Order: sequence, then C-alpha cells, then structure tokens
Amino acid sequence: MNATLAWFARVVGASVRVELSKGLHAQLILGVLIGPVSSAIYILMARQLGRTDATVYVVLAPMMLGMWGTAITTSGEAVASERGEGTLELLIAAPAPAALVAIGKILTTTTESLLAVPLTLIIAVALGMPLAIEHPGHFAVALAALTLSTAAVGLLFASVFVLARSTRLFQNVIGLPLWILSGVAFPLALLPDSIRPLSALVALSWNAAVLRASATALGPWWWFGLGAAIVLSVVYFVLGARLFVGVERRVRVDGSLSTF
Amino acid sequence: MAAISVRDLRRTYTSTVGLLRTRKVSREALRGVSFEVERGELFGLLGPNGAGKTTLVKVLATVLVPTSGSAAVLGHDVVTATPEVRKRIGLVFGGERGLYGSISGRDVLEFWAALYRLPSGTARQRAAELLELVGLTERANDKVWTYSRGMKQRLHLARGLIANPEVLLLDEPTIGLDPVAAREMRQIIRQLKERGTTIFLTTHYMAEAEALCDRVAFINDGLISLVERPRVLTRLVSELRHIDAELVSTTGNDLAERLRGLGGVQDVVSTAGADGVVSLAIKTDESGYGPALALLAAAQPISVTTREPTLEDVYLRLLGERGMRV
Repeated sequence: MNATLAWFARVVGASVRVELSKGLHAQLILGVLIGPVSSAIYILMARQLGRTDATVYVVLAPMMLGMWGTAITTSGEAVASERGEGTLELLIAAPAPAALVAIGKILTTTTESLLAVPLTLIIAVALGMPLAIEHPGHFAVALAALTLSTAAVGLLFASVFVLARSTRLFQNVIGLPLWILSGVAFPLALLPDSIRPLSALVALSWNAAVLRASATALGPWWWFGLGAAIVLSVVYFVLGARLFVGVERRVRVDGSLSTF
Repeated sequence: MAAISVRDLRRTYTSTVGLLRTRKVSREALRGVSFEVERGELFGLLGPNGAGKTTLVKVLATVLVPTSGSAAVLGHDVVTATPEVRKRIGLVFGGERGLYGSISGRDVLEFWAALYRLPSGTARQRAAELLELVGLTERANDKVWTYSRGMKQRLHLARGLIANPEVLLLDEPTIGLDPVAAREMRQIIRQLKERGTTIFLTTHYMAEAEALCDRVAFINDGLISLVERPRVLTRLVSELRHIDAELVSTTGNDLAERLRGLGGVQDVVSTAGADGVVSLAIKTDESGYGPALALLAAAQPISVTTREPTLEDVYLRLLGERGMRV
C-alpha cells in the first residue's frame, strides 16, 4: 500500500515537473490577471460611490473568482491540450491512473494562480483602498483552504472535460452559476431562499466567508466554516477521482477519447 | 501461451447525427477478427486507411473496449485484466502527435517512466539508454518541438520502450518519414526483434512489412483475409512475372499495344516521362514471358529489368483498387 502511495506521489510529482517545464501558459497568465484587473474596476466603482465599507468584497471577490476561474479554465485546457497533443490515449494506456496526472497539472496551475493574491493586494493599495488584514494567521490558513478547494474543483471538472468535446462551452456554462451560488461578491442573504441552501454545497462560499472574516472580524463559526470548506474540498477530490475512473471507462466504450 | 490472442473481435462505433431529428449511426470497424501472435514474433498488419488497423491496436492497448469477442495480451484479457496488460505493453503511434512539445526529450521519457512505475534512478538510466538506442543523446535536453519529424518518431519509440515491454504495439511507426529516417526506424525495430521483444506492427508500406515481419495479416473493411509468412504469400502470386522497361516514346507507345496482344500477358501499364521516355510495367505468366522479352529486345530498350513478385503484388491482388488508395 505504502509503495503504491509512493508511486502515486511520484506520478503527481512527475506531472508537476512537466507542467512547470512548460512555463506559464497564456490561460494561466490571463487567469492570474483577471482577478487583479477586476479588483481595480470594482475598487474604482466603490470609490466613486463612496462605499469604503465594501473594501473586503471588491478586493477579495475578484481574486477568489480569478483563482476558481483559473482552475476551471486550466483544467479544461489541460484536458483539451492532452487530447490535441495526442497524449490522452497514451495516458489512458499507461499503468498509472490518469487522474494523478490531472492532479499534478491542476496543483501546479492552482499554486501558480496564487500570484493573483499579492497582485490584487498591491493594486488595492495603489488605488487607495488598501485591505487591512486583521488576522493574518487566519487569513493564511483560509488562503491555504482556498487553494485546496481550487485544486479540488479543478479535478472535478477535469474529469467532465475528458467526456466533453467542447471544453470551452462547458467552462462558461459551469462557471457563472457557481459564482452566484458562492456569494463571493455579495452576502448570501441576498439570494432567494429557495436557492440559498445550494450555496452550502459550494466550497467557495465557505472559503469566501472565512477569508472575509479573517480580514475583518472572526466570528465563532470561523472554524466550522473552515472545516466545511475543507470537507467539501475532500469530497470534490474523491468525487473527481471516482468520476475520472468512470469517465475513463465510458470513453473506452464509446471510443470518444481522441475526438474533438 | 501466445503473446497476443484475438478471437472473433468486433468493434462498432456509434455516433449521433442530425440536429432536430437525431438518429444513431453505427459503423463496424472490426467485424470478427481472429489471429494469434507468438512470443518473440514480429507480426505485421497490412491494410488501407480505415481498414481497422488502428482500432485493433487501440483494443490491444486497452484504450478501446471491444463490442464483442475477446483479446488477450500474454494471457491477460484486455477488458477484465486491464492493469496487467498495461504494464506489459508499449504503445507507439505514428506521426508527430503524442509527445509534449515544450519539454525536452529526456523529460518526456522520465515523465513516462514514472507512469510505468520505474524508480527515479532506474528511470534516469533507462531514459539515457533509450536516447542512445534511438540516436538522440546529443539532443536529449532540447525541447521536443525543435526535433525533426524523424527524431520525434524515434522519441516516440523510446517512450514506448521505457518500461522494457514484453509486447510492443507499433501503429504505422514510419508514416510520413523520409526514406532515411524510415530506414533508421526499421533498423531499430529489427534490433528490438533480435532482443526478443514481441512486436505487433501496423503499416501500409509493403516493403516495410516484407523486410521486417515474420508473418503478416491483411485487413480490409474490418476483416482479416490472410495470415502468413511474407515468402509464402508472395508464392501465391508467383505465377506472375514482372518486367519493367524504359523505351523512347516513339517505339514505347506502339510496343505497349503489341505487348497487350501477346498471349499470357495480363497487364501492361505505360507511363510517359517528361524526357521523351516511356516506362512499361508488364505482368505476364510464364507463357508470355519469353515472347514479351523478345519483343522488348527487338525494340532496343533503354533498360529492361525483371523482378520477383513482392508483398505489394499480394496486397493489390487481395485488396484490388481499394489497395491503391492507401
């Protein structure tokens, strides 16, 4: 068992090395820039409206959306590029689970997407709306949890993208409802009662809440919120890995692995 | 135990067509294929594009599940014992796809070594050995996108060999290569065969199959029509003699007609060259062989050559006009 786990770790490591060797690709650069640039727009709007109380939303929301958006985009692009390069079939034919290669790729791009955090904070300072982080330790922990959920959602969607021929269409269709359900850019209380319970299933909604609280005031629910975000991320990971196996079986049956 | 055993294998592709009124369309890529490949054998599968060659390779490589029938590699079923099959095979597709262009050749091999459970030290050593085998040591640290097509194909082969597979599946490994690169690739394949690796090779190059394979099978429209040693197959068409001749066009055109009128001559193909020379390709049985040569000699040809039948003749006999559209 330990030998198998060590092998799995080596496969993930090999995938990370390959991804790093490729350098920062256009999708990632775009994803990293979207957060800070969007923040700049919202900061300027908030300043014009005199809403300095909205700092935590206008600075953090685009950053989080940027990270999750990058995860969904890059996982889709990763699958599309494997398909385009003709390596997807070879990955399936190899003894190692193909999901491990996907995990390595997604971990790399997720970690790289953290570049959006300092960029966003710097822009907030430059535009005269600095975000004072009241609890830096908690903020760092919350950021780590956000990274975990970002990677998990990336894996979840990567498995769907193996099945989908048009990954870009799925990226756009999936992303927008998630942003609404996550309540990243507004308090969840604004959502209709019938929809609000669904937000509890979106890890990003918990990530957003604990990250905002770390920057402003910690509530008694903070640890619960962090735990919920981590548990949901683990569920996404397990679900993503199982889905990957199911999808692999299906594409072997319908022969759609190399079709575009 | 056979290295590869295939029994009544069928594979059907189903797709949906139409926008409003959708309907399912099925296409049978394999229609009941059966054969065996012995251990250490170099087995060639010949057939035109769309005949089912790549589908068969993908089934053996566990990338596709057969619709019915069975296939086993070294006794392991490709559907029920997938992990056992995967660790024993190497898979190489032809063409430039299947490699990561933006990393080095060495990195490509070490990446795949991890996927085949090679320890890091072994992976490095194996990558170095394979780069040497395929003549890429000096370019090992260059990005793959800077490689020529031939170099990429050799790297493909090295990647397929990374786990020292007992069975190597080669799907048109020399497709698109220039003659020199194709010859180099064939030399490497020959070396692998000498080392005892079982090789399943698909190709539509007759000379390649003839030069490399212990046995060949012909596949067309998802059905295998013959499985035999190349020499035995060429004997099937040995009653035909082949004469190739070059003449000046004034005599060549007239001679082609006279040759066609000879008893025993089955086919005369006349091709006019740009330099006033006509090439004649003559197929005749024994009775027409002597008279055809006599006619040619009297016409003072530029050159005359005779040759033994090749696998290509078998191929054309079996597949007819479709065989020309490879």
